[in-house]
Amino acid sequence: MALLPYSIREQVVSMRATWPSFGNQMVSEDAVVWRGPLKPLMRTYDIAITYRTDYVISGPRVRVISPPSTRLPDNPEGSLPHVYNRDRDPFMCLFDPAKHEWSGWDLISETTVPWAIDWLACYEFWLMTGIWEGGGRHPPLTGTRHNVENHR
Amino acid sequence: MTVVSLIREGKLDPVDVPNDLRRLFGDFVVTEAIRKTAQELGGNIQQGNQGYTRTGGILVPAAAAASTLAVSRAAAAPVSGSRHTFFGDPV
Repeated sequence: MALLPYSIREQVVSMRATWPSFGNQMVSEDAVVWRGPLKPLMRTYDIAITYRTDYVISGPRVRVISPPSTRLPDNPEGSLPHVYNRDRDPFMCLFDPAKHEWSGWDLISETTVPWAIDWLACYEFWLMTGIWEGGGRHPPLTGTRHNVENHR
Repeated sequence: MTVVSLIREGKLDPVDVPNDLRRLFGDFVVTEAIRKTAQELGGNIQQGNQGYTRTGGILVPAAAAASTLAVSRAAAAPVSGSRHTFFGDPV
């Protein structure tokens, strides 16, 4: 393991090599947004991945830009499962922070993008069956969200 | 354009697909096919057995072997599946 996490530039280089259909825009030296298409099974989704140097622990934020997310009200997993900010600008939650499954020492191209494809594939079947087959967990209602934002 | 063509071209919202297929093929086979495919996909994702295409498609071993989803090495993305735990806000 390297002493420092991957830099934004290193993440950009790896994304360009692995997922060339994604374009990137450097918001600053410390922040980047990638946009590109993913087609897990049925539909093509326009995806935005935002990453900043202060997301080294909390992870990149992956949003579906289009088509608009379809919701299933009253579903046991929530109207849109496994996201943060469900009711306002939701973004995917692709790993359990308590399990330390991701950090800035991981490449977004090898983790976040494949996991977003997993999420979209599960989402498509969830829309058809109402059941999320990809596993995972939701924190209890009274629990705290275990990520870096809670410790500031 | 037929429903099947619309599905293949990704022009239907997945939420509408089951009822469209049931009208064509009947309730039982469609419900079973969707349920089994969903479970197979989810199981592979939970075990980290999935692969990917360069266009952002997902490949699970059984589907790749049994269907036209099988892709050439050139079309496969140079990343493999890995285990991870979906999380999120409380329900």
